[in-house]
Amino acid sequence: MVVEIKKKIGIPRSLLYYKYFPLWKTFFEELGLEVVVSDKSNSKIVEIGGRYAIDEICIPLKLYYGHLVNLLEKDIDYIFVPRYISTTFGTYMCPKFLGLPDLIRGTMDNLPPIIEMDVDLRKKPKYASAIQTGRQLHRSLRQIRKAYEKAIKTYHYFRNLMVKGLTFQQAMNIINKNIENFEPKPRKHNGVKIAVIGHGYNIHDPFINMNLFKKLRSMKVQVVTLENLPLEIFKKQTIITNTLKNYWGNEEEILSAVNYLFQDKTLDGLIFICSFCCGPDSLIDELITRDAKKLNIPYISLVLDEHSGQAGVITRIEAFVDMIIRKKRGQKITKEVLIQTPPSQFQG
Amino acid sequence: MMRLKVTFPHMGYNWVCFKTLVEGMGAEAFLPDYNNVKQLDPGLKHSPEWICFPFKVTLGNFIAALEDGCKVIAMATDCGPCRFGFYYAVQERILRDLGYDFEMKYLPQGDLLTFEWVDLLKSLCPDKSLFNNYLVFRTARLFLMKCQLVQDIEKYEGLTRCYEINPGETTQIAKKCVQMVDAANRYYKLRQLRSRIRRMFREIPQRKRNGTLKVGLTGEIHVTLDPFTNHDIKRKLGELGCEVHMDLSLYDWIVHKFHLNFHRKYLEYLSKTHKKIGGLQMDIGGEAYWVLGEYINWAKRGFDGFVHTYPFTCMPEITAKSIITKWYGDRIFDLPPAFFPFDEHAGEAGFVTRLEAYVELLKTRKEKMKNGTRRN
Repeated sequence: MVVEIKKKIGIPRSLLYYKYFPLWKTFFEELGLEVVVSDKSNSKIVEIGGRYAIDEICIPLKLYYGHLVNLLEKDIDYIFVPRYISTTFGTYMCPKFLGLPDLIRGTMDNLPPIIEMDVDLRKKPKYASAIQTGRQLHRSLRQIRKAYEKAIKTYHYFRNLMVKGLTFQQAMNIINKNIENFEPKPRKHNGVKIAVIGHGYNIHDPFINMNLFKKLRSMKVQVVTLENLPLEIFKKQTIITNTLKNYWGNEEEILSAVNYLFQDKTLDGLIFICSFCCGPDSLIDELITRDAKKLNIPYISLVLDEHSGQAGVITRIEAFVDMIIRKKRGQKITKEVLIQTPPSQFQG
Repeated sequence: MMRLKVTFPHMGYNWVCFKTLVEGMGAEAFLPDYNNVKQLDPGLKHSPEWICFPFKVTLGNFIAALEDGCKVIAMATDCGPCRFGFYYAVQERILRDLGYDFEMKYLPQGDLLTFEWVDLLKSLCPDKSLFNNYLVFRTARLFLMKCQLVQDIEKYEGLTRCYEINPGETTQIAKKCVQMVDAANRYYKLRQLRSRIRRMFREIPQRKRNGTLKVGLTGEIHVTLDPFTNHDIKRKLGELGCEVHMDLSLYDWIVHKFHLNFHRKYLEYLSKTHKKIGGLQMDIGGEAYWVLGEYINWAKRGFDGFVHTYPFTCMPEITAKSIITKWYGDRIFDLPPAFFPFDEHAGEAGFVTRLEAYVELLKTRKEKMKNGTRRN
């Protein structure tokens, strides 16, 4: 019997990996490929990435380069670099996502064939992108359709798991072990609820954010991320001003989540994580800061970079959490529960 | 009838065109002083930390105008993936939080063929009768003509400066030409001006030199066209003995937004056909798509240098920069690029030193190529 050797496709563990990996993994595995993921981020990967990328680019992209180099060592047959143009109708992603395959092709040598996937919901349905990808691998339409349906199903299951309160890594473990109908146990906490909002690649990568989650959990704080919020809230269009429609897909999600969290009276504080030089976040940060000030909600914005010292970040987070705990204790003693007026709308 | 007092941000010589747009519709144009350090300060203070530089400059313009009692602000906006589309909304929010009372009028220029700009122009007009349709037509025509003239001035300025005998004469002539364009408000007069401007530049006493360098200048539109923001890079290049070629201008941009710019279509074609080595496949905002096209175009035409100016942290231009750096490093195209990101932290001396060093290197390179002693 001839054993068919599966071809390997490499996926860098960076950028949209933290959002769509279950989808990609199921899709390629159903098409008969072996999915290889790069190692977890570490200082060596950042160093190599910094050598390939130019100095001004943001840290997630530097990591992307590092992960790509790491993948090349694992002798793969294809490399998967998607081009996400828009993920909901009428939006765009950040310009760097729009030109990602071109950027990689233009700046790196000795790459295996790049498998592209143009996701553009402004112009074509999701299925068209799946066909485009499958066709590059010479698969039949029937195979692609089957793989696509299963991939979408897995992705929805994954999203639902995260809504139930799991972190990215826990949800991925469950997907890998093929457990169905999983129900998570509630975690013990001290009643302080803090939301950590930002891009997935900053929040779920423990190397970039200096193990922020572990630190927060060790302080017995209840942590909420963007993916843990109910799915319905992302369907509404956010309002920035009466005339401007937000056109960034990722920022739309962040704004919807912040809008929802600001109306949630049990929320005690908000941590916003962004990377240095991030274009969209520079504006979104400003808007959220102004809103938080108006609503009197504790808010801290952390800017990440490859040079950030761990101690500085940890000190700031500890101070922030301590302040919130002290504020809560003060409220308990005087028995004056601060009732905030419900904000009418997230509006400028 | 009340005449509106409208202000708009500065962008090099292009205030002439914007002024026509406002005054042609019967409103009063209010111009703050040309960008300066004093004006920039409040803009810096109130802007987000690492937003691109044009945001800070234009916010400084607006604050200066509002301090002088102007009530209406006109600002262009985009629909694209770059940050420019957010400018007016965030600026409005910042200014309102500062306690100013004003009205923000925005001009959607994502696609000018949707003719949304007609509504903006009509809203400036105190006369609400049908007559304002004629005014819109007339103003648009004058505006386009003036844009074309300003483009001519900028082009001739870059081409003649390195040959002038009396230093500084070209700058004077250019300023005089801008004044002339500003003063003329009839179509036939502007048509006469076109040949007159060409003649004025030709009559500057010139001396032909050997070994002048041909340098292409391109980049993000506000930074490339505004002499305050880019430390007058065009003049400095000219004084160092470079013939500055520039395709970028407001006219170029506007014609592109009417889908009639075939030069840009050609640049897109160039970028697209170089897919294998990383040419961009789609417009990713800013000018990245066309910067790559320009680079290929000028490399093929045998230019000596390529200067790319952009605001620090500009997302699309950084993508273009990465690709160009690699192309030159691998000798796929033989055109040495220089990149100048601009920010408020401006050291004039450092900038000039870098520019001088770049030009010196270009000169040596050219000489070596002439003698045949260049090693790769």
